[in-house]
Amino acid sequence: MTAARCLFLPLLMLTVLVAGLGTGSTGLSPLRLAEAVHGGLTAQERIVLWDIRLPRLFLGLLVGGGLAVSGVLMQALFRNPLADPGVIGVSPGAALGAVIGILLGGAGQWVVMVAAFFGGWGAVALLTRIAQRGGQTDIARLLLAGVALSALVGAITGLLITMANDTQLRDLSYWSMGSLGGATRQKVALAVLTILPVMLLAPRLAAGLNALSLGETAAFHMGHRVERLKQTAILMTALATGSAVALAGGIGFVGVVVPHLVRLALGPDHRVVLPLSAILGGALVVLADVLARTLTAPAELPIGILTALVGTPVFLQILLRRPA
Amino acid sequence: MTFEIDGLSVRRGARTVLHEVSLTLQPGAVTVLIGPNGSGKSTLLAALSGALPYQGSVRLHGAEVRDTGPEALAGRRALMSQQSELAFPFPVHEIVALGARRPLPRTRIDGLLAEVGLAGFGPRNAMALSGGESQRMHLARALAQAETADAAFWLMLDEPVSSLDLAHQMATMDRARAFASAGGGVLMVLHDLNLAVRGGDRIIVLHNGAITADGTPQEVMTDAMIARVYGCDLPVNKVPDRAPFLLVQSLPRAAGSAQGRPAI
Repeated sequence: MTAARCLFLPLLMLTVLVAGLGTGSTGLSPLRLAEAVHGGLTAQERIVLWDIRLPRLFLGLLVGGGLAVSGVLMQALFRNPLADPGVIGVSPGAALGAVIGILLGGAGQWVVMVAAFFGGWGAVALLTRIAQRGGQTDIARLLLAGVALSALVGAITGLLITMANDTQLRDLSYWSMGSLGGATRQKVALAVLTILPVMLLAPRLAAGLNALSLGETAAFHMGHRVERLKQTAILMTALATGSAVALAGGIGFVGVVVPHLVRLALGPDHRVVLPLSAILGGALVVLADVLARTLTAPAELPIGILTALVGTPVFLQILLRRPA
Repeated sequence: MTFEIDGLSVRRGARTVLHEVSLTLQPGAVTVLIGPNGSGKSTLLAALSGALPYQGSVRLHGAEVRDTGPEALAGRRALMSQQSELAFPFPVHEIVALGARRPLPRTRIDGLLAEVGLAGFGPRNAMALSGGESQRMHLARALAQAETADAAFWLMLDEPVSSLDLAHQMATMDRARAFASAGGGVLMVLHDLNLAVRGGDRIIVLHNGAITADGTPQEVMTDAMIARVYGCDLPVNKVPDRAPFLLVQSLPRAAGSAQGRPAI
C-alpha cells in the first residue's frame, strides 16, 4: 500500500508529461520526447513541442492546480466539502466579464481575458464588502450574498447573450466550457505570476484551516487570527480562480472533485490536501485536455465537458455518502 | 495569573447581556458559574476568553484581554464551548493535536485521550463520535492546549458535562479539580446545581446579566437564592458535614399550578 502510494505521484506525473507532450496530430513517442532533450527533432516537431505542447502542458498544470487549491480554500472557509469558488462570485463575475469582452472585442482573446479577470475580481470585491459586519467577514452573509449576486450576474449575462450574434454566441459557449487551446508562453507567464504563488503559499494557511474546521470561535481560541485567515483565503481564491478562468474559460468540477478525492484517500488534513490537490488538479486538467483533443480529432472538445462528465458522478456520490 | 474583571458589560444587538460585572478570579480553585438560561454565563465566558467585544476591563495576568492577540491568549487559556461543530472527518487524535501549541508526540496525545476515558479512540472518525465522546475529545484538546502553554493556564469550560453520563461527569469534575490543584485556573459553567456544589470551591450565580451571589457552596446555596433566581420553591437540604444538596423529587409535580416555574 505504501509502496503503491510512493509510486503513484511519480507515475502520474510521468503519464501527464508523456501524454501531454506526446499526443496529438503530430505524435511524439516517449522515445522522441527523450531525444528532444538533446535537440534531436525535426523543425516541425520542435515547433509543436516547444511552442504548442509545452505551453499547453504548463497552462493545464497551473490552471488545474489553481482551481483545485481554490476549491480547498473555499471548502475550508465555508466548512463545506461542496463549496467551490463560484460561491464567492469569482466564476459568475468572470463569466459576465467574458460575455462583455466577447460582445465588445469580438474574438480578441486578450480583451476577453482581461474582462473576465476583472469581472471575477469585481464580484469578489463587491461580495466581501457586503459581507463585512463590524470589521469581520460574516461567512453566512457571504454565502447568501453570493447566491443573490450569482442570480443577478446570470440574468445580466443572459440579457447580453440575447444581443449577441451567431459568431459571438459560438465564442461564448466555447469559452464557458473551457479550453487550453490558446495556450501561449505569455499566458503561461501570466499563470506563473498569478496562480503559482497561490499554489505555493496556500499550504502556509493549512494549520489555520484545520483549526477552522472546528468553527471560527474555536480557531480563535486556539490562537489563530481568523479574520486575516479568511481574507487571505478569499484573496488567494480570487487571484487563482480569476486567473484560471480568464486564461482557460470555465472548467468546472476540478475544485470540488480533486479535493474530495484527496480527502478520501489521505484524510482532511490541509497540510496534505492543499499541496496534493495542487498537483492532482493540474494532472486532471492536463489529462482531460489530452482526451479533449484526441477523442474527436481533428476537432477539439471543450475541456469543461470532460471534467463535468467525470465530475458530476463524483459530485453526486459525495452528496449520497454525506451523513444527513 | 488572576482574572481581574471590572465593570464588564457586553451588548448583543440592542440587548445588554452583561451589566457592569466586577469580580476577581483566582487560579488554584474550581470556580463554577451557575444561573438560569439566558442569564449571561456563556457570554461571560466568551468575553473573558477574548472572543466577544466588551466594555469595561478584563485583565488576565495584568494584560487587558481585548488588547492581547489570539496567539498570546491561546497560551493562557483554552475554551471548551457548549456546542462543537466539525466540518471534515478528522481522526480523533488530530483534533486533540489541533489544540497543542507545539507538536505533541502521538503517545502523549493518546495519554490525554486515556485521561478523558477515550483510550484507543485516536484513529476513529471524530465526526462519528457520540455527544459525550465528542465532549470528552474536546476536553482532551483543551488539555493539550494547557499542556503546551508557556505560562500558568486557565481552563474555561462551558457546560463540560452536559452530554456525559454520571461516571464521566464525576471523572470530568475530578480532572478539573486535579488541574486546579496543580495551580491552574478553572472556570466552568454548570447547570446541575448538585454537581456545582460537589465540584466547585466557589460558586458565582448570574441572574439577568449581573452577579447575584458569590461565595462557597455553603454560602451560595440557600432556599432564598433558589426561589429568587430559579423561581422554584425547592428547599436546600443541609446535612452536617456534607455539602448542601437539592432533592428534585421534592418539587411538587405540575398539577395545573406550576407557579413561579417557567412556562415551556
